[in-house]
Amino acid sequence: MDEQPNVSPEEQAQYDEFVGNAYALIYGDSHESIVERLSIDEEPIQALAQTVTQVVRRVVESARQAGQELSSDVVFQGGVEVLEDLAATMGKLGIYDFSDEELEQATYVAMDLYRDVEIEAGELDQQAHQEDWQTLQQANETGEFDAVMQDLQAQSGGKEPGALSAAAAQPEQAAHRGAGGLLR
Amino acid sequence: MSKIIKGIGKVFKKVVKVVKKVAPIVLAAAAVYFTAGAALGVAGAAGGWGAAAGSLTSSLGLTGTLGSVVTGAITYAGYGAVAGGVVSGISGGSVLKGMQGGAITGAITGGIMGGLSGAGAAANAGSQAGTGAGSAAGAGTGATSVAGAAAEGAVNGAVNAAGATGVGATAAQTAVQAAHLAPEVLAAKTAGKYMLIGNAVQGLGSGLSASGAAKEQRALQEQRYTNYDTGGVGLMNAGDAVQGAETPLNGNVANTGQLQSAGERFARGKQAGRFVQDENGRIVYVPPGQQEPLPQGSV
Repeated sequence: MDEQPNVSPEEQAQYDEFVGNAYALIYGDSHESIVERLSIDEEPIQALAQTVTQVVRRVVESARQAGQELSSDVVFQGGVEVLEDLAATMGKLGIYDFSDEELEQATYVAMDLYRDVEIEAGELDQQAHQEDWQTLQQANETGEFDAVMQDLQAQSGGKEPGALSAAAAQPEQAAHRGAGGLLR
Repeated sequence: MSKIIKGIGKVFKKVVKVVKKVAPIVLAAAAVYFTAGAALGVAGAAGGWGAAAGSLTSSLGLTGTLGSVVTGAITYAGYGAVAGGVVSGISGGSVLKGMQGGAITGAITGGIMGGLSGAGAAANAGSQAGTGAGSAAGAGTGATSVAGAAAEGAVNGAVNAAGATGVGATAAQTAVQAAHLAPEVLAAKTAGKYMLIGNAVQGLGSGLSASGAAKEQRALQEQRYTNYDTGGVGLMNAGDAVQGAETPLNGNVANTGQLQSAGERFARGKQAGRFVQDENGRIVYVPPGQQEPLPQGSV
């Protein structure tokens, strides 16, 4: 069952606007190029991640040129919806049928690419991210992070991210695990 | 895109119904992963993120579930699979392919990289591995940073299902199918209060066309041939194909629905069919030897 939206109408409106424009880009004049791009790459995960990154970036730039600064939540979650839609499109077109694990991989690769773009554009607010990271570390130490992740795991139908499975397979990482980890 | 961590747990109503879903917990892991890399502030394009990934344990203090999420995501994103990439590169194969294949062996590589200390040391000592990893990210970054071309034409042009043909017959068919995939998507596009800027769209097209403008131009030309599908004298025939290709798509032109390659189209052109206007003002194709317009819908 789908989760119930819990954002403000203003946030939802910005999300709708962002994703709507991304779809206009994908299914509009550039559609042929996008389908071609998704088709020619030997690595569908890379193709999907790169395409999503480009689309999201273009819409963000477009909004900025129009004097509108988008919320990071909107860009992030809207970008993921675009990724989901494009993955489904690739499946329907017979280009590639992504497994859940591959979709997760594509999400991380897209995160990498988008971060690179922000760094190259000089837009990455590293200090803000460092503050976020400190917050995460504190939450990790107090067990709050575990609780949040456990809650999200329940929302995900008990699904554990493939990333955690991958981490569990790393002896080096296993040695660094704290005793309080709930997601095993 | 800072402060996305604060947004973990936010749920937006999706614009379209999606079949493939990224689970909420994966969404959170992705936000954590993005934040970790951004806090470190190194770009994958320079091989930095991939090379420095192994040093995260010491530089960012990765422990517990948080550490598992980040290092697991690194492995899942391919950075833990550097060994595969290097082997592939040596053997002359696709580095990217090697990276993906190598993801299976990410556990081993991750362990090795985890032993490196300090981002700088990792970047230097692990240069070979870092280059392999960086090339994967770099490939994408290079593509994403393609400058937008000059903006011309309709930016928010209608999504024309009939006109949304692709490159050649096969790609054209897939493109048409894609255009029919999600009607709600087409409606959603009109909801935006800010409109897409021209060079954003044009730049996207340029960026996505890895093989350059010539290929894109040829594809566009072929697409237009296919759409017109005149097959003979009238609005366009084989002799004025290039000139006809520059003619804007006309929604009133009846399309046979049969997408063809340019070769097939020219073969039909020799039979000298023609376009005429029917009683409803629609332009329809009259096959060779037939005098009257065919009934509507039969073309």
